[in-house]
Amino acid sequence: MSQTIFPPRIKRRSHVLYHLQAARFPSGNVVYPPCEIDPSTGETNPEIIELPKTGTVIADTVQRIVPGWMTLNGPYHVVVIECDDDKHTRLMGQLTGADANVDYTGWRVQARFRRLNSNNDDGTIIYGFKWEPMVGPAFMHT
Amino acid sequence: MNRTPCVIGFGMSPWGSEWELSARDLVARAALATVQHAGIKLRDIEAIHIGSMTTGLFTGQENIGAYAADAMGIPGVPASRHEGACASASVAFHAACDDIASGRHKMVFAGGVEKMTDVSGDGATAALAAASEREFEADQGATFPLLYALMAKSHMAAYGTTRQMLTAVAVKNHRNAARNPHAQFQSEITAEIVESSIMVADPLRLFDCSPITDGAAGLIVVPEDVAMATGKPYVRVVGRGLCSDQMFLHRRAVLHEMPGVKRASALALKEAGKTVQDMQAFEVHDCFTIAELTILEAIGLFEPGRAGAATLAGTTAIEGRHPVNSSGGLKGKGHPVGATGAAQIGELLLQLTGQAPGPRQIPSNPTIGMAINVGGIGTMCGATILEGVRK
Repeated sequence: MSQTIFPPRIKRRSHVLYHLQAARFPSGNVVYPPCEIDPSTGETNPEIIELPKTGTVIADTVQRIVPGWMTLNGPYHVVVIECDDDKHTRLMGQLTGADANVDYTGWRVQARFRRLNSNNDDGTIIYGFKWEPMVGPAFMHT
Repeated sequence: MNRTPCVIGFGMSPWGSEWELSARDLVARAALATVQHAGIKLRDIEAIHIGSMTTGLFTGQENIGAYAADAMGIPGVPASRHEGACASASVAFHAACDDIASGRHKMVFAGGVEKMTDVSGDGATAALAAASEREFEADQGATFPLLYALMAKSHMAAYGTTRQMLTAVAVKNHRNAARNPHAQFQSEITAEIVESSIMVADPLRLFDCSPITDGAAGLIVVPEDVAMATGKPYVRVVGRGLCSDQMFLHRRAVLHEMPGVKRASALALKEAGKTVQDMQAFEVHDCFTIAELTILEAIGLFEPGRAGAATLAGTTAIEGRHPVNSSGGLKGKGHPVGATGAAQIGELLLQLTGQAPGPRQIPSNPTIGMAINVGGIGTMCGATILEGVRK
């Protein structure tokens, strides 16, 4: 099953997806994706910042039964990452270049610009960041 | 006049892959069973509150309040549809209780419906994903099994929770479902069956997941003086809590915790003037096996990380110290998402008044219990405490 993803939806998210933007609120809280009101504190007037393109996986799972709305054919990792900013801002993303039989929790990862999905009725292609494990013991989080 | 909301009747449509029944039929069957149990007529109902998560995506049908009133043969009554993902029926039930407590109405139907098998498995997965954060999480490939799998991984890492503990939840709830003639699954399963089922999202296997279900359920809510006048057993609604939480899983301080459940249950307990240890029966939202464990910890029944061991030890079995999901839970009874909360409350009505048939009755004959109905990844939670009044 594909789904309709209208261009406006892609356009309004493009700055977030292409630049990994987040909102920094006056208190210092950083929220991804950016929003007008801090969901934790109710603060307003955020500054838009770009998150660093590296981080650490804090939770990892592999979707074995792929939903029809995803372009991918095989199992894929979805992980929660703590970015390397001062607030360790979290986000959810897919791994790329990863082995479906490996748990990458604790691994260092770097952002790679990739096609996220194109399975829809409008021919639109969603681009954004996936995350690639930094291979080698030097990159292992201890 | 005593305006304490009470439940005097409960009914269910058939639950399962009910290809022959439309959403309209499901509502009608549940309503008829409910009024029969309550000993009233459909035309006695003054208002309808019905939960439905995403009937539009499942069947194309919206305007569910009027649709339900029409299906029940009582068009003209005020009828509202309530949506809180899988907690939709609890949201509807709480609105019905408010109708009673405010004095606006004296006899209200609260229930829920979901017709899930008119779409493919993929279609159902996509519809259910609408309860997650759609623009960012779902487009990363997040499904509900995947989100709960991440919570399970986090729980395992924090407390050493094992696959065996998750399996014990599934085995227990299917065992209870086998005693429930309304359950979608009527047979027990073994640990070997769970462990050999296909992996959906590591570490959750197929038998860790609740099924796709067509079904509806209904409750009749009245003030206590009306309940007393029936001369039949009923339950008093002594505590309620309804809480929301952040939509994004990654924004949670601890991935496997459910702050909304904690808040909702604390509100309900405070209103009831009870502690969780006073509760003698539980119906909790086991949409995935890990959810039962995290909810039992969130409400404080077990210390964090201890619910799995307690399940393995039989503490949450029907004969155990803290019986959980005597109905079979979502795992065994089925999970028509918009209706589940009503069936949880209905099961407690039966258990707390000694009306559960045969071997399904909890042997300790509980008189007070708690239902926890969760939407999304805990982004909506309805907690309800009921006290039985036996005649």
